[in-house]
Amino acid sequence: MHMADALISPAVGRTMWAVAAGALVCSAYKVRQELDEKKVPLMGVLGAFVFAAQMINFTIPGTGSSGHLGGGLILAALLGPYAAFLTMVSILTVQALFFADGGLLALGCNIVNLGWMSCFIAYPLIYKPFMRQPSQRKIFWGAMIAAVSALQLGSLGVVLETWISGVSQLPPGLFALLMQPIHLAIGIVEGLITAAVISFVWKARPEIVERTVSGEPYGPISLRPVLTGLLIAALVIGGGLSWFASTHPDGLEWSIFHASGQEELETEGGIYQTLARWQEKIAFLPDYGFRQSPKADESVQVETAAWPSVNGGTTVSGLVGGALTLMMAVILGLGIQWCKRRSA
Amino acid sequence: MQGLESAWHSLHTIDELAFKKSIIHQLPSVIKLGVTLVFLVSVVTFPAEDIAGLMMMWVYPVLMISLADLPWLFLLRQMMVMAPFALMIAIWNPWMNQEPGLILGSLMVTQGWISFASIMLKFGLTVLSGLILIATTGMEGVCTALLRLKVPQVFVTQLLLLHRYIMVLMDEAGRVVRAYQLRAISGEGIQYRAWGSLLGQFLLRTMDRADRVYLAMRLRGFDGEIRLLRAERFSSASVLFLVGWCVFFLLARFCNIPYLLGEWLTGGWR
Repeated sequence: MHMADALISPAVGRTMWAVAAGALVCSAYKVRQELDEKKVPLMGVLGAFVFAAQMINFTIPGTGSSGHLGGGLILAALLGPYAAFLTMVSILTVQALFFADGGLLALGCNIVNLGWMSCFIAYPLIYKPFMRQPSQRKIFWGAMIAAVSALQLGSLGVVLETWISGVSQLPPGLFALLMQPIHLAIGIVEGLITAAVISFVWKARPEIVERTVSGEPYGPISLRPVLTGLLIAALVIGGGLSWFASTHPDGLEWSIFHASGQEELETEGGIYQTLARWQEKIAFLPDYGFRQSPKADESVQVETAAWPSVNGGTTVSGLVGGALTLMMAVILGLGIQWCKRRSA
Repeated sequence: MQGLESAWHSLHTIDELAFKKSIIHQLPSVIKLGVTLVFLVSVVTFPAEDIAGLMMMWVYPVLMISLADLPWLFLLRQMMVMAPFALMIAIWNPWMNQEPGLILGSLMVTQGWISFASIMLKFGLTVLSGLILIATTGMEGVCTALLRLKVPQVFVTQLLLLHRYIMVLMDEAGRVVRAYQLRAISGEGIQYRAWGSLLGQFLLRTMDRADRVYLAMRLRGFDGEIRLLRAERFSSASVLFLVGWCVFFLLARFCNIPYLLGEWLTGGWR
């Protein structure tokens, strides 16, 4: 479910970064306030545990395929939401840096989809109420429902972020139809693994599970980070999207165009005309064919105006130049290595 | 995610690469982080149809890999491991958008295929730049940069500890799984009945380890903070490195140099 840099727009990346950073600072403040040094190595080592456990294959009964652990909910159940969120962020950062699993720009999206949803939505709103008087059954259903909801929310986040970015032209409805059932299955497996582990720990060392849920020593869980996060998201999305709409109408436009069909596009011609006019004013590469059909009816031609018009000459120049640039880059690299080897 | 063994190998290789002594490795970590971020933003903002312009951006990874003496094949392999995920989403574009985008003689390429190629190129560029950053800076370097950028100390400490213990716990997970597989009757994966006990035992052992780690750190004077000692000087060369690349990225982004070059060349032939 990790999103890659190549599939998001800078505005979406920036917005989600702001949300993630807000939640990170808030969580860091909370963890710091508790002044529980003992938790520092515990967070580090548990993070490494989740990292390693994610790579273990669990055979799903009756199917022959295997499932994996996500880990957000286990961390929240053992550390409380704030410390768990910090730990999830660190895991996602290492995955992005060392394994190219999700990019650096998309890290904000991944933090929100995979960390924030399980620590600040699924844990306090679903898992915790189940655990007021823990029993085997409550642990099972609490973990199961919380894991499924966290993954559903996360994959919905992926769909929305991909759609708003407009890089992929997959209609959001179809994308959601692909994503949600897959993540329902993944969520059930994750829920089963989480429930099995928490039940085991509860039987072996009940104090670990109960201490966290009772809020000791990590303090009561408030809804404040959730509300703060939502507020920041609302503000930044508002600001971010307006910027996005004014400078890069093409991405959003394509996805709206392809998801809703041409008629609806035409009925809102006024906005699109304005956008097209803005775009014309601020187009970065006018000589690359952006503005080659000024006489065409703009309200209908917005879609094609974002693309260079189909022109053989432009194409050949672009292709020859592009290939040549790449070749020169490679020759440059080889040259440097050759020189180094000579001087060594 | 990769399997336990290949992930362990990747982590180990990248950690070792970060200890090299090339001119790129010696630059301050904040500078490298900054250049990487500017690069990422420039790549992502390229319009989908401007594939020729995007080629200019390959100069950065090629030059950095050569100057830092990083192993090409290893980085490309790391990149390919993640490629299927980008492919899965990008592959829909050719179906969703069949408007003509380019005409090459009798060959027509649709806009969908062009945006598909653009996504895959951007994917390669962004993934490589991230790997180059970590392979030339190392986790401690990145953490130093984060501290300078005023990221909360608690988080930076967490990142350092996580990085330090990943290898240890991956080793341990490997042993747990191997012990299970040697006793199991069939299959590679863990059977349902053992899910809770296997992972639960592993978890309890991990928590005991955290206790021991805490006591050991405490005995050595741990007070909740890990101090990083890295003297990083902002030499004029490092500032030049930052400014130079930023200017290059802006130039590549806003002046379509490959296109101008191509036009000049093909114009000459006409």
